Amino acid sequence: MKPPPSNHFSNRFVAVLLVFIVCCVLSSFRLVQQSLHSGSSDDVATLSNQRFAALRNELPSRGVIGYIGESNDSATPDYYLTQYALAPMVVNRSINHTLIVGNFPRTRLPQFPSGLEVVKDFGNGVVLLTNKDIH
Amino acid sequence: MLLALAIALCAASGYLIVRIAWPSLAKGTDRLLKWSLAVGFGLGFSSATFFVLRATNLQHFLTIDALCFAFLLGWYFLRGQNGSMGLPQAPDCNLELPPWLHRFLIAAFAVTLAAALYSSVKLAIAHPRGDGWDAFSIWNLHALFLFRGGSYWRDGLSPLIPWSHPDYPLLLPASIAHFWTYLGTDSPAVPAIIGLSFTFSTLGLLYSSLERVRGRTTAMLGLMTLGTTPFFIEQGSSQYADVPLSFFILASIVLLSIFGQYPAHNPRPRGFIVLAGLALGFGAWTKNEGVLVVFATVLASLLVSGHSKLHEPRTKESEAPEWRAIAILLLSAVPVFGLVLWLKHVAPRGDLLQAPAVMLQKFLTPARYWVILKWYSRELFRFGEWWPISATLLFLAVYFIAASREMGPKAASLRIAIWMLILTLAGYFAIYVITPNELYWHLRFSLNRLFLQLWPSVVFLFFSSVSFRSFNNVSK
Repeated sequence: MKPPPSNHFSNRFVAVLLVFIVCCVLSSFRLVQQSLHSGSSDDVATLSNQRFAALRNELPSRGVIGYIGESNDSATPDYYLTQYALAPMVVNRSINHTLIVGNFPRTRLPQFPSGLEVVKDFGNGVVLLTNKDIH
Repeated sequence: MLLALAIALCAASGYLIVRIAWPSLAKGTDRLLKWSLAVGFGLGFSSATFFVLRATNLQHFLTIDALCFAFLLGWYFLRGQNGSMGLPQAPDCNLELPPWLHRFLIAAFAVTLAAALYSSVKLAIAHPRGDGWDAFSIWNLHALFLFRGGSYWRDGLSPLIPWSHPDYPLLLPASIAHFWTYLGTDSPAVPAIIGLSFTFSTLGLLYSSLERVRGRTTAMLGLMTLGTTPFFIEQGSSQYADVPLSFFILASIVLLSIFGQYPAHNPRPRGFIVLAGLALGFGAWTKNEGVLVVFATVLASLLVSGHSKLHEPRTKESEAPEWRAIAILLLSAVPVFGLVLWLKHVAPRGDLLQAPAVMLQKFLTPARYWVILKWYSRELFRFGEWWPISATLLFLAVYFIAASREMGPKAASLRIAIWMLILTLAGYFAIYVITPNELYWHLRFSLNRLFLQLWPSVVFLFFSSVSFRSFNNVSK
């Protein structure tokens, strides 16, 4: 006759299994705690898409456009947000292009290098520039 | 409405692919196994179909999807249940716990599953465009070029976009773009739902496959291990491609294990090998590491097969199917692998390979090996962000205290899976040796994700091969 299940395992086995299960539950609590502190929606991309919507309508449907932006810690994220908003245009982080997008979400428009001229200011720190030295 | 149709076609196509290769009448457990596989295979299939249409500049996505579905449905009905083969009965090895411990396990299982579900959804809502720049600047950006670029999708492969890795495979971006095309807009909900689908189908696949080989109690322990790995849940919601790749690696190992359950002297159902090969192909279509996994699997199969031939003399007739199985495995991966090769052909070269002299110099620098080895050892016990004790430490404790020492792998499929993971880790190691990036930086930002890709398979292999020591065994 089959012995009752409670006789099947040593105390050591039961202890290890208990520790294992308790650790899983504790790890779960930590996971929930982390997700609670993950904050609310931070859809910067949607906001960025809205900032660039007017510019996008004025650009050709494809091609390469230059880029100039702020030179602070958020310079790289700003660039990718611009690329994301303007895709399928390829945004090259260089001013050696006929058309250049200027992205200054936090600062005033700076003094641009000579040769660059503002074609249109779309507001919210978004400008379209042209490089007169490139033909 | 169109989106619902796209989801239905995707899921149904995935299910039909699984059922064509595995035509058996399902019982409850196998149904979960099949549906878990169907989610990944459906997403992989719709991604590949969408990409082929994009690459050939065809526009009628709905028509082609419907035709593909009709073709699969026709194939399924034509095949019928002629090739029907029930799975061999799994050994009766369910871990029968004392009733109080069993109840405690069920309660803990429910809590951890609910926590995983809650955290995943909460994280997905908190980071609708993915958590981390790779999600945004690589995967979703590629999806955007495939969606908005139309026939000019290749502009997205431009080397002028820094750090966008144009040589990366496109399973995830093409799958996202597929649903965006039906929806008509680039809704952030799509990549988030695809991420969650892969996360929970990986959990479902792990649970149902462990239940098949080891019973329900062990399956619950396995799912709890993976579902309470904070890094797995976070990455699943982050819209990176590591969890989808982990799904396909696990799927190939599970399918090879099921194939291995059939006695070698009987004709074995090759459908499982075909599905395993497809999973490997989809893995290669997900991330470059998946290409490495394909080679690791083939090499592992050859190693185990060759070893068996040398040390377990058999007749020529009985040995032949193993070689055939390896060939079928490889051939099944070829169609999707072909897409990867074509993409590699049209995209700029990746940034990992440098001039042979530079790579040789790095290969001959022992200090690099030492650094990588130290990171591997450290990450092994830190990986997963478990709290308060690392899951790998708990595995060691379970093995040394509660498991039988008869853990040594016996089945060829198990040995293949273990070698596959070892060779893949060795491949990752070699990539770090030659990396053009600063070594510490590269290790810091990628090693935990590389481990994550293999983690579900490690959990499966651990729980499917460990034998828990019973009271009777201990007393002997």
